[in-house]
Amino acid sequence: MLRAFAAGRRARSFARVPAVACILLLLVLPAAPVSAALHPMGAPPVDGPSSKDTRTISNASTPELAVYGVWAVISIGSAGIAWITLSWMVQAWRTPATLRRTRFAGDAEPVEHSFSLLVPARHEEQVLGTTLDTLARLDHPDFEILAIIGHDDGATRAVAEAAAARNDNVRVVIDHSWPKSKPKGLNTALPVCGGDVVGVFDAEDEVHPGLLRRVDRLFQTSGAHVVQGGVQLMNYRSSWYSLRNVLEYFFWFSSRLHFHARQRFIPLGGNTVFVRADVLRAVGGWDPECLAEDCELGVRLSVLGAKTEVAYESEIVTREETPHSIRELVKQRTRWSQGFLQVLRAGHWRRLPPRQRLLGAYTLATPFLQAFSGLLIPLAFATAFLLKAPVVVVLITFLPLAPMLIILAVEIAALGQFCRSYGQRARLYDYVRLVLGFFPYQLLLSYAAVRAAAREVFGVRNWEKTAHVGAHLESRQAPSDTPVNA
Amino acid sequence: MTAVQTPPSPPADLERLGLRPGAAPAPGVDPDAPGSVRSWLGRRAASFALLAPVLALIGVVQVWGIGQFPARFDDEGTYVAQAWAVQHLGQLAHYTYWYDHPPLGWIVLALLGWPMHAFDGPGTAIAAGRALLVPITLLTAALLYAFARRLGMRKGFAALAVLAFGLSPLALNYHRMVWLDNLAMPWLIGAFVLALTPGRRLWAYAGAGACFAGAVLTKETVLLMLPALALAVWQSSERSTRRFCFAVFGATFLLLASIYPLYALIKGELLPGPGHVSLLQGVEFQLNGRAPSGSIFKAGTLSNYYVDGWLTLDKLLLGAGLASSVPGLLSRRLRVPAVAFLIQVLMMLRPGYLPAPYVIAMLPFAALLAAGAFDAIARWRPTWPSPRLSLAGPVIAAVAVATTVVVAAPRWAREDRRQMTTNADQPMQTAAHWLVRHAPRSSTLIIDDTLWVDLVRQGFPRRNVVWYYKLGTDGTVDAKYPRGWREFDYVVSSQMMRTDRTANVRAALRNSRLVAGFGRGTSRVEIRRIRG
Repeated sequence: MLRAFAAGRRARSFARVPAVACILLLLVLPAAPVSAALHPMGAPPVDGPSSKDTRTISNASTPELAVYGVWAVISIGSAGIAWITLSWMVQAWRTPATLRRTRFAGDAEPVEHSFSLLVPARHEEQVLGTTLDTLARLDHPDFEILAIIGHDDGATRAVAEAAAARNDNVRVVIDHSWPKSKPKGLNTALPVCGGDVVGVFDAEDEVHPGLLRRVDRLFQTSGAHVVQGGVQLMNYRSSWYSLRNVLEYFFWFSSRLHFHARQRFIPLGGNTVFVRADVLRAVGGWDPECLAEDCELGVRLSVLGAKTEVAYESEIVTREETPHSIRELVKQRTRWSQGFLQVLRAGHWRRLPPRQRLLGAYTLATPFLQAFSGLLIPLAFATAFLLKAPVVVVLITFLPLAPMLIILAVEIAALGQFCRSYGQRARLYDYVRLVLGFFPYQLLLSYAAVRAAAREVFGVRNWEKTAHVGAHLESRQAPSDTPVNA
Repeated sequence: MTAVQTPPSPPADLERLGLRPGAAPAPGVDPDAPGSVRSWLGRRAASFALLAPVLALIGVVQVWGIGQFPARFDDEGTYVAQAWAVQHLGQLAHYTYWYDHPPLGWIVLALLGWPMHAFDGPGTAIAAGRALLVPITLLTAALLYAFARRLGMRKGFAALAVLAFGLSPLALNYHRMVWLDNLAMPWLIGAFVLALTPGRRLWAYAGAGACFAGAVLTKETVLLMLPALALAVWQSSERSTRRFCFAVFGATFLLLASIYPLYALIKGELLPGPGHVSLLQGVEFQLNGRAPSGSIFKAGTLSNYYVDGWLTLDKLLLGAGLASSVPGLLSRRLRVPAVAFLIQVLMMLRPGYLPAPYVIAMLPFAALLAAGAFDAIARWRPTWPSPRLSLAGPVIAAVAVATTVVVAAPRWAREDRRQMTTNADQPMQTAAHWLVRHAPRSSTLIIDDTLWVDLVRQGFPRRNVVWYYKLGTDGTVDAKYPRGWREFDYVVSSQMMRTDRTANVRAALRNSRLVAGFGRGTSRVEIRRIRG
């Protein structure tokens, strides 16, 4: 852990305090129940070797019973949530055949579609130029790139215009809307899109040259309205939370989204997402006020019965970076959670058939369910032990631990798989960080979810933009440890 | 506080685009979902037709005279009494549970017996416990068939394995007794069946881990089989998903198995301490506390006595298993059962403690290996020196199977018949009747555990009926009887007691006079009045 902190990035220095606090909390939490258990329920009876446990359900008072009942309900509920999370996160690996089906269907020959790739950028002059140049050289005969720049962002605009001068398939669209947001920018560009498929990328994305041909082919073979390609955070060694953040993306794009696509209810991703232009225009584009415009579009299209194909191949994924500090991560998570909350409140999902409606409500509420259980489980553990509850009640409070430990084992497997897919070698140190980071990361997500709920309640709905420094580009381009903007 | 405004309502040309507002289609078909039960059954009709008579035969042979042969063994009484304690006292044991074995076996026994009040009916409690094990054997046999099929054996040979497993006199003798090993077998064989999932389903591996945990929580010695099971997981999984298969297999197993230490932890009985039992002491006792049984090759040792007993009952099954096990290692198909079998053989050669029912876990693998060897021979199609020799394999296999059947059938039939018709339990049964008729219900008795439930059921207060083994080892018992054997009215002397000879038993036998005696030789049971 020391090495991660000693890496000497100024940007991360203020992240130390919460991280250290989380780790301390992690060490203290399990210690409490264990020490309580090792010194059990008072002195042992003198008359024999059995340490008779005097607390049983039958001799509990009514308030005690009520507390036990609440614990049991919380524990069983949390266990249920964790089981669902687990079963959805391993969808892709259910059988080797399932895994093969999560890949693209191959290259398009001949091509049938033309693409308009939208790249909204705001104060991203550091990374935008490279991204536009890379995009301009994608292997496909028919596509255009529209860089969407705010009217008040001269520096980024200069970079974009320079790229447009270098590449004849790059255009610059100026967005005059106020206050600025990503969906407004996208809506500004939609009317001038010339392609029959609209794709979205972020300014820091590293896109594989063969992506468009694969997407083209998938549209041809599947008749889908939407194709969601894989997005993968790469810099798993930057910090303790980046490792977990990377794995979250790995599970989400390589496994979980496939489940949503099959169930016909999908919160789409924010980039490497391709929608047929006619469909996009027919539904009026993106929701300009939503903080999770990608998810919102996915839900609205799901309600209309749109068919979505998801494909993930490690060679083809769009590579990104994790937020470069805990503060940024929390901001990003707050935005997503609040966005999910907004989509939940907007209520389009209510028009779905019963089964998908349930899936929709559950999916959109997930950040809050997780926050809830993430906060309550340690509490239930601690109180169950400190108040010397009956053995049965304590065993029930341990229930959520079961799926969580399996999740941890699956994460360990996934880290190995991730590293192998991307030509890395996972070190013991990475596995240790993965395990130790479990609860602190859970707490971070819980904090962000609570923060999102509070912001929504108090009507704070501004767009907290995540800053990007290009940490994912280092691994391939810059051998030094210096961030792009250092 | 209003919800986010929705974008302008969509134009009407949605349907042209293949979108149907308000009528989203049903979720897509999941190509990897398991098929329906009906189609599953349908595809296995031939197997069921083959298996049904085989299982019926095994069931009849096992249940016939099950209460009378073999003579009841001390441990059977313990497990039945513990199952009775689960049912009637809501406790894990009729005395202080001291982590001698994990409790799942007799919990399952108690649950199985619950609906029909098995331990409260006529007949001895041990006979009731033995009867409850018949469906357990049949379940193991059916799973063994599935295991054989998943190893790639053909139906006929799979059925042959099941027949050998169910009808070998050695197997029959041990299957008829209440051993935890018998209760562990369905879990263990089930774990192998799931680990060899033909569809390589992730959740089947989790199920294999869960079943294996069930096996270990029933009888801890099954843990020895872990390398064989891990090999099965490795063999059946594919490189692309193997990490995940092992992750869910291992995690599920560890998680469920850890319920046991967790239970001890919560009760404050994980680590040794003054005034209470502990899991660690229980494990320590099983690993180091038991007297070594000596070498199986040296006459006069307990190990030699057990192995000799097994081979007297039947040499064929273990012999065929042993003969096929080493070549089996070379065949990918038979490697898993070969490893499982050989691990147990190697453990037997080690001079430590050898439990009497140790052989139970070897039987299914021996049966698989023997039938698997026949199957392998039958598949042999030599084309050299002449293509006309391609029938050699099937011919040799047919001759080998026929010879085996001719050799085995009369011996097995004779010995099985003896087990079905002999009453070896007579002395104990009459002793119990004598006590019920002649001993006052208020008397205190030192007894073998095999009588415990029967006497308690007949109205003797359970604190007055004391299993001899607990005098001097269980603090609760010693607290009630501080003067040991002197406080008892009767001692019922059995073969087990005379072998074990604890200090209290020795003194009680010396200071007592015979009031009734039944049977002769080692099976003799004596009721003796203690001169306190």
